[in-house]
Amino acid sequence: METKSVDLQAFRREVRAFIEQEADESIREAGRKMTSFFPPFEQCMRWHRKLHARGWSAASWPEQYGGPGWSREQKRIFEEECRIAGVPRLLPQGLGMVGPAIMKFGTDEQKSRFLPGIASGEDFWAQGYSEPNAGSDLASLACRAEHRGDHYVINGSKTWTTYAHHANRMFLLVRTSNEGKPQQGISFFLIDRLDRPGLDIRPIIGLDGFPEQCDVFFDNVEVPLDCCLGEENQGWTVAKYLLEHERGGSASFAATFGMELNRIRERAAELGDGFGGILCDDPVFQQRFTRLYLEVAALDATESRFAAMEKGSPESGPMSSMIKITAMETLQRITELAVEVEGSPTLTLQLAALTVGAGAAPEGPEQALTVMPKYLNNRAATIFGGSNEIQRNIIAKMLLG
Amino acid sequence: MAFLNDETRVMLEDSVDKFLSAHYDFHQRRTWVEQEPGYNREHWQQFAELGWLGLPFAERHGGLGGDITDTLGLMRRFGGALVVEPYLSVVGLGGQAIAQADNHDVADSLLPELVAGKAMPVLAWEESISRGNSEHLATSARRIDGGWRLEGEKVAVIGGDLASHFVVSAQAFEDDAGPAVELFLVHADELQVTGFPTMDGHRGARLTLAAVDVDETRRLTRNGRGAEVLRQVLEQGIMMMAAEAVGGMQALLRRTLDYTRTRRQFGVPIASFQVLQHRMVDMYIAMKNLEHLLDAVAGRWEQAPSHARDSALLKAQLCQSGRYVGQQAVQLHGGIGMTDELDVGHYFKRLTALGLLFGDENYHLKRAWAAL
Repeated sequence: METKSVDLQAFRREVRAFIEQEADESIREAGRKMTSFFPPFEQCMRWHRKLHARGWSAASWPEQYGGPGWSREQKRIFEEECRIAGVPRLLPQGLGMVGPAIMKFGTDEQKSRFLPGIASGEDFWAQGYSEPNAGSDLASLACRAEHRGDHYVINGSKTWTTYAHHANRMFLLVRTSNEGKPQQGISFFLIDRLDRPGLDIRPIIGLDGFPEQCDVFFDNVEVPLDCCLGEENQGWTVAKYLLEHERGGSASFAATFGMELNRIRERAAELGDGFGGILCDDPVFQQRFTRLYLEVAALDATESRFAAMEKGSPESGPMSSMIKITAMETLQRITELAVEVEGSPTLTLQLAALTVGAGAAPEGPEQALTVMPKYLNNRAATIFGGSNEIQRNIIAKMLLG
Repeated sequence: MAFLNDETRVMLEDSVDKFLSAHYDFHQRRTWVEQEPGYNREHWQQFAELGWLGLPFAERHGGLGGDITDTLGLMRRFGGALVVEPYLSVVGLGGQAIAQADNHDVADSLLPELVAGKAMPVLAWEESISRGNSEHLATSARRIDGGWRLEGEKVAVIGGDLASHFVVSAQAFEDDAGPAVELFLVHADELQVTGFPTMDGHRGARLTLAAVDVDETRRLTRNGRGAEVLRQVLEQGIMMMAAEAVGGMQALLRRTLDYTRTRRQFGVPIASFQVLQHRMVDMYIAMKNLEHLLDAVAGRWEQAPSHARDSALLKAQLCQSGRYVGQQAVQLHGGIGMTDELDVGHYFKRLTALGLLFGDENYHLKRAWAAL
């Protein structure tokens, strides 16, 4: 890598030209109408497949598994150009979560069977972790798998499974033993098909009126014995590795938040203050905005530090918790300010206008369309991926021992 | 201004409790919200029969002769049950604007209809430039032969898509004098109403007034008194919203306490974690702050109506308390609090809407500063 010298300017132009040419209007519309961490599914996967055709879908993967072999600078430039163009971020469940876990813990057979479909976007994997009675206390999960002849039989349920209703595959944590500590009897399963008898997926409608999460029910669902990633009963190790991926790090929250702040500032320069002036001249607005700008600057600094840190070191876990806490709380404050800036037009419920491809014009200013759904949906940001209360416990343990 | 006696208030609030526990089921509410007209028309008739629609109107208009503070017990209960019928829009805002304006003919003909559950006048004051300030408006009223021509656009008109009439505020240009804010009565079929559902299960509308001509009989205020009537009606509306918010927060706190006592993680009820206990204490304090402030403000209102500072502080407190209690109720419920299925998210959304309507915290703190 070090010896290869890449003209970064030329690379940037190449990326920009590709996006310009390949990201059609409906893909861009999906980017504009993102109201949570998860872009509209269909357009996002179409973009994923287009990127794959160019060899760019799995930007952070090693070349041997289909990564483009980019330097850190190139990855940064690629992400930056995607952000500027407003194309949807690719869904993380495959590329960022189960993919890296398979690379680290999978057999050669599992790697060759599953990684290509993740890179290509042919497959979409749902993440089956949380259960109705196992949220923050994930290790208490009760969905169980029993050996029966040449297969496992799964019984139980999962919940908050994002986009399970779109998925054809699922990775999940199941209890395979009740011996020892709760963490010790958990296995990490790779389910290759979701049309198996007894498997039932039901979407959950969220606060914004759209389904994003699902309940997943297993009623004597049979899966082959080779579906286990890593050793049986060693799933917690895989899960911990993967949680660290989820919590922090690879995504740059600061850059995305910076763009959200830019949008707010632009709007504040257009909207009135209710007294004949413009909002961005209001000192109260200026203070609130700049305080958030400061939060994002501090977050950016922490993220850079984390990026340079060796993963799996004693500090990296608590550091990823810190990023999760500060990033998600800052995000919530940003969405709150956006609601106040747009004001009462955000009260309008606009299910049709928010649906990509529905062709429905928004009621009121276009810039206000996604503001309320973002505020509502991002209340989940301090709940999912280990609630912020749990993250604070992790840091407290590091500090206090 | 007259008030109902304590005995009547208690009887009234009893009747509200009975009605809501018998008729107001959260799951049924969903069907009312999703179907036209967005609320239950039979309920509205029952509100009329029970005398609720006439609470703050004079007896000569078929009302009970009470004051706006007499509606606060009812609004608190409505908040607790997530009532979607447009009581605030019609009784609190549209009706009160007509009752307090100068046009007695309109009041005498329309208010009895309102009290009977037939007419639904709604106040249309907000514009895209308002940001809470009812006196910062672009809608104009210009003299034409025998009346006025109204032009402009009103936004976020709550209850707007089920209104029979609108009370529209406008800058009236009369003779050579500068413009003054006046109120006009416009029938719903005389202007363009773009109705929509709102995120809290209520209804709203945007109104387009493209050369709407009304005759002199539909002018509701004179000598620029429109601004004063608007101010007073919005101050009353803020009290009603604060009462509704208190009811909603009480319900949310109760649900959160119950949930954390039964939800078990790490082998214990999550209510046993001190960090969550303190959070719920802070929710309680936030709720009580608004409740106590509302009681104090309502008490002073009964002595002398309209206190700019009081109502500005009350709205700012509503924004703060409603935001904290709503957000934390969702947080403590976890994922289930994010679902459409559970009522917790709906209380959160209603509190969010109440915070946004009629000016945000920033606006009202400025208003309070100006009135110190």
